[in-house]
Amino acid sequence: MNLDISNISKTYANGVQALNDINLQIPPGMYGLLGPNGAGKSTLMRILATLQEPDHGSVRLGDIDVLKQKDEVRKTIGYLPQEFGVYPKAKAIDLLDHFALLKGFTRRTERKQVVEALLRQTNLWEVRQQKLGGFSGGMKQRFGVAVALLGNPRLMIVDEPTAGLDPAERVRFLNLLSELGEQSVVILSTHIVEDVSELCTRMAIIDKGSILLEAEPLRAMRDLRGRIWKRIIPKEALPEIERMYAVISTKLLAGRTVVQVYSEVPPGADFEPVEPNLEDVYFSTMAGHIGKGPKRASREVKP
Amino acid sequence: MKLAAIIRFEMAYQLKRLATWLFFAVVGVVCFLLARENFLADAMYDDFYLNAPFVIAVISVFGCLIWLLAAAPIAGEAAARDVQTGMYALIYTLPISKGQYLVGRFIAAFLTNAIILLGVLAGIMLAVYLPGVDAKAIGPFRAVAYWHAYGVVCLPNAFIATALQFSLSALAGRTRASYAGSLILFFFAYIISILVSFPLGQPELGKLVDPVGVVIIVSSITFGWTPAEKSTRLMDVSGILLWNRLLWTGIGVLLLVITHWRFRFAHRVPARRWWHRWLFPAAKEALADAPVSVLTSPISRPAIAPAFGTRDRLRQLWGLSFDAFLSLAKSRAGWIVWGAILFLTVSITLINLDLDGVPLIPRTDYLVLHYAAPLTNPYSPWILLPLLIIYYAAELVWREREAGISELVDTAPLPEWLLFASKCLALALVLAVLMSLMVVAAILVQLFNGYHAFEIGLLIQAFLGLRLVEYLLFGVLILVIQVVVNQKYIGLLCSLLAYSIIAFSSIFGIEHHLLLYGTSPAWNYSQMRGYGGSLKPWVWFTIYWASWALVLSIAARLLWVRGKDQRWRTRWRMVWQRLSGNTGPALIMAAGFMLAMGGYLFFETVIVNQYASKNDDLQRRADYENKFSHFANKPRPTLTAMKLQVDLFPEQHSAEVHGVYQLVNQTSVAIDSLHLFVPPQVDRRRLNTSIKRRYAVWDGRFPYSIYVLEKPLQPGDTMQLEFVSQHWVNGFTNNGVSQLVTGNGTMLTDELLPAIGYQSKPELLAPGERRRYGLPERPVIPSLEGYEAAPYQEGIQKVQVDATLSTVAGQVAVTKGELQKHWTKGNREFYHYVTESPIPNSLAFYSARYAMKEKMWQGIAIQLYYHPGHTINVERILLSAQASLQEYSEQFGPYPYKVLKVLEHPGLGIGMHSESGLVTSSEGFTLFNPGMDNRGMDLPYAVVAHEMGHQWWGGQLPYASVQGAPVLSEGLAWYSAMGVVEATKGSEALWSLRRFMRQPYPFPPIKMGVPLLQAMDPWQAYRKGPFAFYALQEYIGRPAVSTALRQLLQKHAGGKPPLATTLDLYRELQAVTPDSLQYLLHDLFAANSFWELKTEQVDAKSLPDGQWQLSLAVKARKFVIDPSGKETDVPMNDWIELGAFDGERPVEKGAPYLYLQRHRIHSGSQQVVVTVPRKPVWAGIDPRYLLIDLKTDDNTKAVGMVKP
Repeated sequence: MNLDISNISKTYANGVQALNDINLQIPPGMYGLLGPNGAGKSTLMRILATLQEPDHGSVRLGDIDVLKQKDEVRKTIGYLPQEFGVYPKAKAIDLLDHFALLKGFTRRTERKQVVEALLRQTNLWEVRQQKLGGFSGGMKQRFGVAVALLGNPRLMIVDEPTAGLDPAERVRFLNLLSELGEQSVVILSTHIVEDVSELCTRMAIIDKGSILLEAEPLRAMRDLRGRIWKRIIPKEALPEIERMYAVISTKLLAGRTVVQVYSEVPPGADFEPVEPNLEDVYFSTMAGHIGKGPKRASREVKP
Repeated sequence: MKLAAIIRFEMAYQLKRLATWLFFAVVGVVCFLLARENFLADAMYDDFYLNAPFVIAVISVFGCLIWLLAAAPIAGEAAARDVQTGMYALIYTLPISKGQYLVGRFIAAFLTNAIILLGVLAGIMLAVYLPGVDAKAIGPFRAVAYWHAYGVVCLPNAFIATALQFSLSALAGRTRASYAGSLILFFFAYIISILVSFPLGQPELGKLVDPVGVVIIVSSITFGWTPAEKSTRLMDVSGILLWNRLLWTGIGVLLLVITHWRFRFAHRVPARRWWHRWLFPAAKEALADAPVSVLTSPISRPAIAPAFGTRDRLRQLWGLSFDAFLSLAKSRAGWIVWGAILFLTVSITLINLDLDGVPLIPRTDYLVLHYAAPLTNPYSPWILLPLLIIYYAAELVWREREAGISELVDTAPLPEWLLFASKCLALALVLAVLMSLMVVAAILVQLFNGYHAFEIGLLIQAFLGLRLVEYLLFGVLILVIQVVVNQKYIGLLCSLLAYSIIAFSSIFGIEHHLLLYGTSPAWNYSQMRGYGGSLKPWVWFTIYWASWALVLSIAARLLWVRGKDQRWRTRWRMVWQRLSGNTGPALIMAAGFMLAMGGYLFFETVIVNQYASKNDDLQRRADYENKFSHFANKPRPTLTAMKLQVDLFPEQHSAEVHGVYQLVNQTSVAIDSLHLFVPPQVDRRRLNTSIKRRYAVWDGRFPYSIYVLEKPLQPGDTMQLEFVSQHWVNGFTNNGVSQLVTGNGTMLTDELLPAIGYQSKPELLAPGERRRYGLPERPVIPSLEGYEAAPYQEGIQKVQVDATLSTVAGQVAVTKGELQKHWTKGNREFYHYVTESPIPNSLAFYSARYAMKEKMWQGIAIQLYYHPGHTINVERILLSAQASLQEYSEQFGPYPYKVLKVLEHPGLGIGMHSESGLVTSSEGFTLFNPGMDNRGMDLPYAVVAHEMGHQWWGGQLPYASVQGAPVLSEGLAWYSAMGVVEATKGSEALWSLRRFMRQPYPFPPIKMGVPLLQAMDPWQAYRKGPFAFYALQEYIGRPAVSTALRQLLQKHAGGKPPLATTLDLYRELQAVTPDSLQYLLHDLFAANSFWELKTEQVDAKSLPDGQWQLSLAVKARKFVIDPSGKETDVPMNDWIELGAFDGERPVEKGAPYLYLQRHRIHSGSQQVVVTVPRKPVWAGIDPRYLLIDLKTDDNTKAVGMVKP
């Protein structure tokens, strides 16, 4: 079952165009939606989760019209919002039980089984009798996953899930998601490149409401091979380099400045080739060198 | 500088918020409406100005109350916004001090509130100066009146309330805590102060504990000031008012100091105090995460699929509702609310369970009508219930969003109707708990009182049935408002507005229940008549409003917000999308049903039972007067005898009267036409006259017909009038169902009998109303002098009545007259009554399953008809009636009939009514439980004696309705009752009764006024009048007073004009008063005199002969007060009793007095020396409080001993 997003546009009352003619075909498996803050990721996610109306376009999940048959969609999705609260005085098991009821598990004994399985799955079984008000960020996030997983959703919408998690929590969490990807469509929006590179078989890069690139991470990296170069420079030389080359990223490495540039031909002896990773794909896309973003003339070095 | 910056920033923030100006507008609009709708009419009636300082002050108080309830977020935001939004981390680390921060924020909140309260003045000024006000009602503009009220009422209130709201919010770290502050103040102002003032009998303390000024300003000014004062006087900022303002301002300052002391610039760690740990033992603060491996196990979940069938939906509905209900019910606040409501209901009832100090039996029918008042009655503590509903509804609608889980819930596969329905059901569960608390409270009150005739079924029916439905309909409206408005605080405001419109509908001119959401004609319950048919209109209207609730609920489902996009454009688009499927047809069906029900009710109440609005009715009455009043002086025949056949059909709620009137021309001219006042129940086609009539004229709009006689009725000639009158319940009206004839407890008055000639009863009385409808001005009551000079005087018609009543088997039918015969035919009982002598023309017909107890006194049968079971006061009534017959026959003249009937009729009123040979009381009278009265008095006994007094004063002495009339009836009746109490219960009992009568309630003394002879107000009639008669009796002797009264009766008993007035009474009293005491008679009756008598010092020394010499230093003053309140001293040289006694307190008379003699006392201080036989303990001037002295506790003093 595929998720087809066609011609989705959305403009907010204050004139900000959040989404601009988005078209995506999303097959089963993990799908990463990568973009900077404010790119329109959450708007798109909320449209998919029936919480927002686009101005134009249509979304279909298999044979369900997501925008019109909301009730049907809600029976098949799991949604983990970017931010959510809990009833601080409620126990984890009770609140999950409550959500299970909302999701349609109306028989008490069956509900108990479902809840227990999910609590064990998300490693919350031990703390099930604790009040949610005392949960750490990661525990709360896992509780959210448990809620989203209720009812074996065929479409999981996971909005910026790893922001604010410590490294161990993040790993744990990504593992959980990857399990899910084996069974259903999982859309993961994030601004962290590693999330996508570690998990997703397909991805899209979105910025200012438009899809800049839709690709498989591995192929995208392969396609970029031989076009990314790096050079270690003194900090003062940066303006000069930026003027001369298509710099896609600048990093500090042990106190020294490392620039990476996009160039289809070797930019010069001072530069050494780099094996591209997804971050390079991202920065190249954002800079307009690849994908559908506003094209920027790659500044070839004129020796 | 920093302080100023903090204030400036906060003020700018608050003043930029829409809510602030909304509060301003609400306060302004409410004050505008109050001024226009409430005070304008009063001003026109009472002759003070609409912009009088008094009006401005009173409206300010109410404006403050509204502000208190609405504007709590101002202080809450200022105090706790930073904590709530998480901004505090940025603020607390700035280089400002805690003091600067708190003081700055407080001042800003206070100033903002002060600005909002300017809305009070704006509202009043608009009300005065916008068009639509009679120029007569507007006085000259006085800025000081506005600023004075603002300074004395509004500003201190703003300070006190802001301080409390601010402190609570700052310490709790929650903006919402400010509402608790509002509620506390509201509670003190409305409930505590009224409790302290009345049931506890501490009016001064009550004024002090009222933080808003409701009691102190509204009660003391409204009732204590004359119209002249009301128009001009500013409140004195002294005495109790000053103390009140100082006390509460002080409390405000103290609260702020405590807040400063407790407040910390620190991260908030949930503090756990001992009681918190005790209340919530299971909670643990910090959690250790469970040990988790980085790798997760493969996902394996039980193969259970969600289900969405109808039964599953119902399970979800119940689960959701119950969960939401528990969140409200089980929270700390929930428990506090339940506990407080139960405690307050029980304790207030236990404290209040008396009337005029006489304990009442907590009978279930009484509690049912006193608990959980209907929504339309905002003047009771139960205003708390709608306010709770408003609060709970907001909490329910905003629960998910405030907890931040709305997105999780919104994406769950739940239809919107289920979400909304779960809120309704949760609210219903909350209401069920509240109503169950009413049931429990009622049972507890009965248990505490040792009353064991429980009627739990009735309690459940009334509270968990009827009231629950009424409140739930309101609750659905509030939920819909919150959903549609979609902004919590504006939703709360709209809810309050909706409630005010319902509660104060008459102010807004909405009278018909079809237009007022959730209301219906009120049901009532009495033990005699049950619901008496009042449930039927209630049920129909409730179905009608339930269908409205359904329509509104569907609207709420259509506009339900799901997700982030909350713009109206999106919501409208969703409406069309959601109308697909079953919703559209459901909406059409619900709306169709609503319209059908509305149509039926319109047909029933407007067309079948011709609805007339209040204005229509006034207009019709004005037209009646304009059209027919010129016939008032036209000669008319006199009704001398009537023969009636009254058939009552209690089961059908109907009655039929066949009557024949005997009309005699007692005038000296021929009468050529018969003018009749014909009530609509009389069938005009079946009216017959014994003299043929040429034609008749009538206008269907008025109950007035003119029959032109073929042959004029010559002086002294007689004619007959025959008529048929039918009463039946034709469905119901906007006011409910007629309860004149009900299954048990019929009380059919004579309003369905025709009357002869023009009747002045429908005329408009209030000067304002008369002005509005263009009728000539005239005093509400004719003046005393005017009556004596009037050329034409209407007499009291006395009529011979022969009435045969029939009713259903098992019931007794009663009316005036002596029972001639009783027989049974088929399943009907017949009673034939004939009056042995003519009686004043006023009849009523009663029928119920009565029990009857009879007692004979000198050939007169005293018959008590009562509801079986209402036996508590049976003996008391019979004894008092007998004692009264004995006493009054001796003193004033014989009782003119052979039977005296005392009869109970349905209704929970407490009063009694007395007419010739018949004393009636409603069921409420049987709630009195004087056996439990610990004041040594028996008020019901005295009340019966008072009503028996009316058998002479009113019954035998018809009086003219002019000034002073209430003194002739009520004053003499109470004076007579005092005689009965003294004769049968002793002088101690009389002393207790007089002490009760000196208390300021139910009739507070009114000093400024007219002399007793012209008096109209209840204090003069019911209190000062009897005191004056009693004082006179003690000065000139009882036989003399009785002689005067006997003379008065003899001269006026015929009922022929001119009727008796207080001037006739005064002449008789003058005739029996010795010259030396004529001054006293004048002071008591013909002048509004007061005495101030005081004993400053009493010393005694023993004399060698064993006697004691007593020297009293006394001070005296006599003065008169005119109606505008001006006092004028009158030099005195009056005979006043000096007394000494060997008890601790004064008594009426008798053994404890060692000395009781009248002395000449002149104005000012003086010394009197007397000799007494034994050692005195107390002594003083006027120890028996005979003269009109409003301060009696300084009359006597403990005697000091002087060594000889």
